[in-house]
Amino acid sequence: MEVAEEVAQEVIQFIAGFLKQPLDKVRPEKDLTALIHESFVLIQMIVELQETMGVRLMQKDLQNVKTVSHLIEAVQAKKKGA
Amino acid sequence: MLLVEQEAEARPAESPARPMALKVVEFPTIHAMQKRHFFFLDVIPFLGFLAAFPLLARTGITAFDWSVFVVMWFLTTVGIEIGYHRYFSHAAFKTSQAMKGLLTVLASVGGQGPVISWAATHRHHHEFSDKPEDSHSPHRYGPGFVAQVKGFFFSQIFWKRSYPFPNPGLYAKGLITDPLVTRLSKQYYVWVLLGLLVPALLSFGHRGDLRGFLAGLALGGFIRLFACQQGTFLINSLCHMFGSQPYKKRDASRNNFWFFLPSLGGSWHNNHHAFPFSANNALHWWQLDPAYWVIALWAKLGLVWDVRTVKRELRPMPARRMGS
Repeated sequence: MEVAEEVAQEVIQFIAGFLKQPLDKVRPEKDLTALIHESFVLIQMIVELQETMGVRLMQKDLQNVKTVSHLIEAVQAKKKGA
Repeated sequence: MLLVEQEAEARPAESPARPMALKVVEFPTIHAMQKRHFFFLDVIPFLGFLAAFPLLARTGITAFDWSVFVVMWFLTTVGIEIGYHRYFSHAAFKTSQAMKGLLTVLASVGGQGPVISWAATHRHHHEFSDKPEDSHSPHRYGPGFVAQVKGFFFSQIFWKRSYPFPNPGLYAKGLITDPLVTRLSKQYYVWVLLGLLVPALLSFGHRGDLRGFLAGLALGGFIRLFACQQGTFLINSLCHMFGSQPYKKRDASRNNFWFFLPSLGGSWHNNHHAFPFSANNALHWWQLDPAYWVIALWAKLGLVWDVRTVKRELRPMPARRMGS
C-alpha cells in the first residue's frame, strides 16, 4: 500500500472512531458538515487528528477543507512536507 | 497540541518558539456550520413565532398552555442566565455534576448553541468588548443614526450568520475537556427538539387532541424559544447602547432597569462587565436580580456553593461619583 493511501485509511479510521460512526459512512467525498453538526466538535476532532497523525495543521491548511477527502489531502501534504 | 496554532511569522517576536493558540478559528466549514445553525435555530424560530399567532387563534389558549409557557420560559432563561452565563462562562459558583448536567440541558433548550461554543464566544466578548474583534458589538459600524440601527440588528441577530469562532481550546478549555459537558453538548440538537416537543406533548396530554398539541408547540415551543433568544440577544444589543453606565469601563455596557425581569437580572450589564465573576449583578437594594435570588436559594439548599459576590467594601466607586 502506498504511503498516501495508508494516510487516507488512517484518517478515515480516525474520523470513524472519533465520531463513533461505521467506517462505510465516512466516505472521502462526504462533506464534513454532513458528519459533524457543531463547530467545537470539528475543532476537537482536528486537534486529536493532529496528535494521532503527528502533524500540525495551520489555519491556512484548512481554508479549502470541506470534505473528508480535503482533510486527507491536508494531512498528506503535511506528511509529505515533514 | 493547540488548535489552531498561529503561523510562525505572525507570532510576536518575544515568543518565537512557543506555540500560540489562535484566538479565533475561521475556515469555510466552520462558517457553513454557523449558517446552518442560524437557519435552523434563528430563522425557523422566527418563522415559527410568526406562524404561532394565527395557529393559536384557531386552537385557542388554555390556562394550562399559559402555565406550560411560563414554566418553560423560566427554566430556559434560568439555564441561559445562571447556567451558560454565570456558571459556565464566569464560574460564579461551584456545583455538582448533576446540577452541571441539568443546567446544560436547560440552557441547550434555548437554542443559542452548545455550552462550549456559547461560553467561548462570551469570554471572547469580555476580552474584546466593543472593540473591532468583538463578535457582536452594536458599535461595529460606528456612530450616527444609520450605523447604530445597522449595529443594533447586527448585534441582536445577524452576527450569528457567520463570525470568527473563538477557539474553544483557548476560551473553553475546562469545558471541552469535561466529559459530561462535552457529551451533553454533542446532543445539543436533541435538547432543542425536546424543548419544542415537551410543551406540545404536555398540552396534548391535557386536552387530549391535536389542537392541544399544536397550541403547546406554538406557545411553549416556538414563542417561548423566540422570546428567550431575543431576550438574551437584547443584552448584546440594547444593553451596549442605552442605559446608565455607573462604572465607566473600556466598553459600552449599560444597566437597564426596565429589562431586569425578562433577563432575570442580566440587564444590570454594566455592573456585570465591572464584576464579571460575581453571581450577583445587583449592587444596590433597588437593582433586582432574580437569577441571583435563585442562586442564593440553591446555595441555602446546598445545591451550589462557593458563590462569588462583590464585597461592598471592595466595590470601586462608580466613575460618576469620582467626578470622571
